[in-house]
Amino acid sequence: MWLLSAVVSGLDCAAMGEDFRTTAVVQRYLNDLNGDSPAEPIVRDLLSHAAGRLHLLCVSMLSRNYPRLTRPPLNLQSEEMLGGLVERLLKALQKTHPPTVRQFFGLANQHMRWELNDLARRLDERSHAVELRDESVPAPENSGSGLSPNTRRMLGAIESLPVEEREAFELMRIQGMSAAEVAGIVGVAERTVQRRLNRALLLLMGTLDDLRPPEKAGGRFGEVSED
Amino acid sequence: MADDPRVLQLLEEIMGSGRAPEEVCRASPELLPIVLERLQRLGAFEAEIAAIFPTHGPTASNPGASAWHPGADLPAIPGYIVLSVLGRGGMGVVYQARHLKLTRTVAIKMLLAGGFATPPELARFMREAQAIAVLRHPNIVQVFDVGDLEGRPYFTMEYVEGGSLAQKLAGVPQPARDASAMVATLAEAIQVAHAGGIVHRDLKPANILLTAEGTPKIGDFGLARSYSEGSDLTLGGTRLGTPSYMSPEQAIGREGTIGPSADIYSLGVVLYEMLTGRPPFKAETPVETERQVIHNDPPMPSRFNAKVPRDLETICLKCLRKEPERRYATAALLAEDLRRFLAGEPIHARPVGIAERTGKWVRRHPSAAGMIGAIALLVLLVSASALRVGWQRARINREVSDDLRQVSEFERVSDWNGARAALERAKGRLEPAGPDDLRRRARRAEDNLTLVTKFDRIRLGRTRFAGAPGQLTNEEAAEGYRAAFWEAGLPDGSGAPEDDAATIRRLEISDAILAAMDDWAICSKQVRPWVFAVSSRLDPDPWRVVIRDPAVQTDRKKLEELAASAPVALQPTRLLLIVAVALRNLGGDSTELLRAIQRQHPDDFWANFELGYLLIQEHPQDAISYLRAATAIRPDAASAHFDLGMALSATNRLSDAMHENERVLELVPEHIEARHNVGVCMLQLHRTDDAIVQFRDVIRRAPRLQAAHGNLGYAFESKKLYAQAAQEYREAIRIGPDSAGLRNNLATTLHEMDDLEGARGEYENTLRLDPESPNTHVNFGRLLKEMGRLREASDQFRIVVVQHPRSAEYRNELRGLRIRLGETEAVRAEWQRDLSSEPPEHDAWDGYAELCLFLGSTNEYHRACRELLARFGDSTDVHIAERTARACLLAPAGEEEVRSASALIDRALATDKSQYEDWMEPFLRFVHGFVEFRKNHMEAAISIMNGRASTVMGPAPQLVIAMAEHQLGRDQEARRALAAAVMAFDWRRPNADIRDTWIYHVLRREAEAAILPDLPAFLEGKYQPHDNDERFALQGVCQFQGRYAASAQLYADAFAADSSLAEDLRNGLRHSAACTAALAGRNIAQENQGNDPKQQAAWREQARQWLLADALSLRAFLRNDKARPQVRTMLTQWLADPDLAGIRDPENLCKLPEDERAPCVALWAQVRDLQQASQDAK
Repeated sequence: MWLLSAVVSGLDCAAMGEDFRTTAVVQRYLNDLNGDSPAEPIVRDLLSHAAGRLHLLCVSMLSRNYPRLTRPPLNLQSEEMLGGLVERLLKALQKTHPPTVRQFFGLANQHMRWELNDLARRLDERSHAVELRDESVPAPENSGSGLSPNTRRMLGAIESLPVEEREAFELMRIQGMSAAEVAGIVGVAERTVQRRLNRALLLLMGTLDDLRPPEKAGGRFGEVSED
Repeated sequence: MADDPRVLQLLEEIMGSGRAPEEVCRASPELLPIVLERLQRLGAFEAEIAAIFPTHGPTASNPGASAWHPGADLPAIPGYIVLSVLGRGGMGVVYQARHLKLTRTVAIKMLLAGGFATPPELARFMREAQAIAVLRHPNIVQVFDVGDLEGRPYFTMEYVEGGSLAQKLAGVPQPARDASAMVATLAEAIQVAHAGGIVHRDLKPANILLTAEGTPKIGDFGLARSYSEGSDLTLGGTRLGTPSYMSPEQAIGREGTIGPSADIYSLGVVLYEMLTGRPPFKAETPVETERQVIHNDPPMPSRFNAKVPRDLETICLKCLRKEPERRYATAALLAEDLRRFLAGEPIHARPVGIAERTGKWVRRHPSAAGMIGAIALLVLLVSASALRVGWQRARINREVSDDLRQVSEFERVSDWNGARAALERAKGRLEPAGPDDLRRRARRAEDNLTLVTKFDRIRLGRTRFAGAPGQLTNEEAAEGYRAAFWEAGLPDGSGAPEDDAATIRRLEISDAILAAMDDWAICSKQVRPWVFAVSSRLDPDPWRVVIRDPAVQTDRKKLEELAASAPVALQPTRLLLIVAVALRNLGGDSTELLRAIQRQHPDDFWANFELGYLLIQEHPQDAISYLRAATAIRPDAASAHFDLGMALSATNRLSDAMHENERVLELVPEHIEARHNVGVCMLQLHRTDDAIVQFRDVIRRAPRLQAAHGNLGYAFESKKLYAQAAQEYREAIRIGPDSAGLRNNLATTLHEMDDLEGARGEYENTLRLDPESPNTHVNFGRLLKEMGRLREASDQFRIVVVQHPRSAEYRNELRGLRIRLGETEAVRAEWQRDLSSEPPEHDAWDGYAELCLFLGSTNEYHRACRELLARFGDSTDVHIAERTARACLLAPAGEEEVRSASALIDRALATDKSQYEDWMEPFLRFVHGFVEFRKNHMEAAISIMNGRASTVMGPAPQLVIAMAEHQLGRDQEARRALAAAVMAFDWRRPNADIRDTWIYHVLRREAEAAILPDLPAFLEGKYQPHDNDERFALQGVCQFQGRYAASAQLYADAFAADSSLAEDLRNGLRHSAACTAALAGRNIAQENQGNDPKQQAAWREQARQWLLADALSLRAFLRNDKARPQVRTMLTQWLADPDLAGIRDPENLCKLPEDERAPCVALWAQVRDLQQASQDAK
């Protein structure tokens, strides 16, 4: 269980740096991993990177979509929600031995999406409970955005993206890689990666158009009352 | 979001290439608005995504701390794409963004909402930000724009990419010369701000940004601080800001006293830090640092860096004096001293003298200073203070001198605020007394400033629109110049040019006067020779002399030559623009010259303004860029905002346009055009109620503004307030009777008000003014049709069809009119000819086959069906499939046709319902039922026709049901269904003027032939129907053939068989019978030829009786509140029904036998009485 201890002890992968970018190195170690060679620090970094990203995504989701859960009376802290998630992700990644770097990340992305979805579902439930309890008390002003299935819809929409667009989106937005890194892993030009990401965003916007209320500023929407 | 795939493609292109949307959309400008809107949404959406899936940032090292930041998303700021977060501070967030229109990268600082609780504070923020936007200096980060996003104010500014001075310093001392040069530059920039009345208040290395070339730019102008004063300054209990760079007066918190000298202190700190690598005070805690700032003397810089030159140290410490009045009085003086140091000249600052240092020592160590020492000091201090008084006066005089020099510098660049501030400062310094010569100079400077601002106002206020309040006409502008010259005691065109030139040359502001004269000459022909004579003496440059020549200014050819060869790089923009504007006014093309001028002087207000104006109509997109630039250069130029508003309107960016017009009104509240245009924007944004209020306000201010009346009328019209609309249109027309558009609108309004004659007159007026007026022919034609003037209506539609050769709708309307005029066969023949050119659109074919069958041309019908199937048999368009299949099923057809039609409709039915409109569904069902009928699946056909199909196609579903019942041998049901179908429609021939009615008639004939075997005998008068179903079923053919007497007889027989039918008002049978009888009784020669006049009189009497019976029954409903309005409506219809005209209208009554007239008159008197009663009864 070296992995878990590494992760729980502070998710320290800030120094992944150069090595992480070098696909060839990762590939070599993945080969080693499959061949039951002794685990190397690079693999640990690789996995803890995934775990770190998941942690970050969970935290931003919690703070963004469920701010009321973090305030009294629940005072929910991210850590208590996340421990299990990260553990499951690492187990899943450890169990299957993806042969290529690209497949490794594909798998990681999928699992991370699942975990996020699961977390969002549970948060929605808890948020709903808070909502009920708060009925008698006037809600604080900016808590309105709390209860929303946005994240889950977003995850669903990501899932239904075409394969290439989804891969580009996931590597850049879920794994937080740069276009250059993604280009290295997928084996296409950086411009292609950027194009796929752009397309993914446009497609997602099309699917999730109602996610954001229309601009109030311009007065173009919502004010047309007659005619 | 069902987007045009092209939009998606364009968006991808923009995202991929980073090119401007305007550029990418050049080929399809109509998509630009939606692309811009999508881009804006995309920004917002990206932010939404980024909030959950951040792009970068800490991966995991400290995820909690950073991600918990509230508002981590990127905001959607209209007009910008926000790209990333550049940094966060206590006061707000700075984003990197791209300006959509100018395609430049900018930084956007958005303030946190919390500190701006009250509207006055927000307003103050806006005011000051706008003041800062006026500041233009190469070493000040330019603020472009100020805005507000959901209550969070923001401003956009120049993006400086090289990091800050703090990052560059990082604790390392800089060479003394570098440090002094840098601080001198900064001090000069700060001086400009101070001159504009703006104090930075938060100068520190972190706020000094460096370009890639290392040029420093001062950013973050005091906004945050000045606004947050008094509000919550703390976050997590610590005081924000950096006490190390704070002046003592700021540290103490004496808010009222914080002035320019606070910035001079901070500049001193920056200099100190550059020299020594550290600020003078820096303690463990901010509180301790503050204490030191307030109480301690700064350590000598040479203590930390022995290489610091003595003079520089003196300059630095003078800035750091605790007492503001002991620092440099202005930043300019600091800069000047630093420049002296750099040039190796003696500096003005004096090291802190022995007396003062001793004094300080005494203050700090009172117990240690003995009495004796105190006495000795007293002697010293007295003499020192005497010296100081004299020295101070000299200093003040020098400063006033500087201020006054600045006034004229600011004037030269049209910076009136700066000039005014410098002047005020000078006056302040001179109070209460000062040397006479300085006071005289200040007074003269004030007069000059007043004069040049007056010139500027005239030039900027000069309108291009005649008679618009709030703007000057050329005559008014010329008069303004004349008055201004006269009041200022300047030559005003009446004296000798030689003398005038000499007088002007002697003045300090001779340049400004010359410029005003040039503009004056533009406004007024009369003054041109004088201006020419004086200016060619004042300014004998050969090219400029030519430009000013009045003969040249009216010579288009010469101007074109001058424009083509203009030395754009060498001559001042003002005169180049004179060429361009003169050329434009003569109808020439000055675009190229204006573009060249603008390229040469991209920062020149007038270059951008004139070019932008020129491009509004033809290239509004480009115009927006130039006018935006113009408003950025001179945010106070109302005309530029106004033109920008027009350009934005032209590209349908209405909210932005409205905003610009509102800016105009902030600047010039009496600007009536802008006020009017705000209303126009509201109207286009469908804010009709707001628009009405706005236009009323405009009219109150300018009662004779025609457009305002017209648009107010339009607003009323769109609210269906026709009476008010008509009144406004009439008023507008009274002001300017030659507007075809207004008359057209008045006509449509009158039409809506049922004033048909009035509408006809106005349509005629419209077409007299503009025979091409769009839509007028259509509307006029429809009105004429409604008035029964079919021939004239068809004349109008003939024009419409020429105007819109591709519109099947108008062509069909013309066909319908001609059919009503009895030209049915001619219509068909022409249609056949039209189709011989094989038009590709289904619309052109639609209805032809049906018409052929209706007219009995069965062969031509079958030929048309084959054509239809060949052309559209594979169509995947649900509408085309439905129509094609229906047309081909209309006559009993061969298996092949039924199979093709069946395949078409099956495919249409299998289409995903989201692909077609909801209302299509029953139409598809009808065709489906029709197919089943033709396939002999009678039960299925009946069941489908009784379903949703029954709601469409008038009597057709019932007719199919009748035939199906007949096929199944259920004759009684068949007759009943046929009777119901027939009674549900008006079968008179003139009504058969469009496709669907032809279908009904064809089906009726088929059903009659099948179900009514005795029809021919009946028509010959040899057969009498047996029951009421049969009687009603026979009505169709009677109506179609105009056999009104037979029809009326059928009604009479039906009522005789079942009297309850007549009594039931709901079915309206007795009224229909009365109308039919009235028609049968019409004594029109060609219609009821050979009829017995006695018989006709009998029918007329019958008609009266039936109507009278109905009237009696209706009277009973008068007491019923719910029924009364219906009664009223029915009676109104009686009074207008053309069928009853023969027994109602006086011109017909007079043709009747005398004994018949009285009962008719009595009947209608009773009807009117009843109608009145239905209105009165409440």
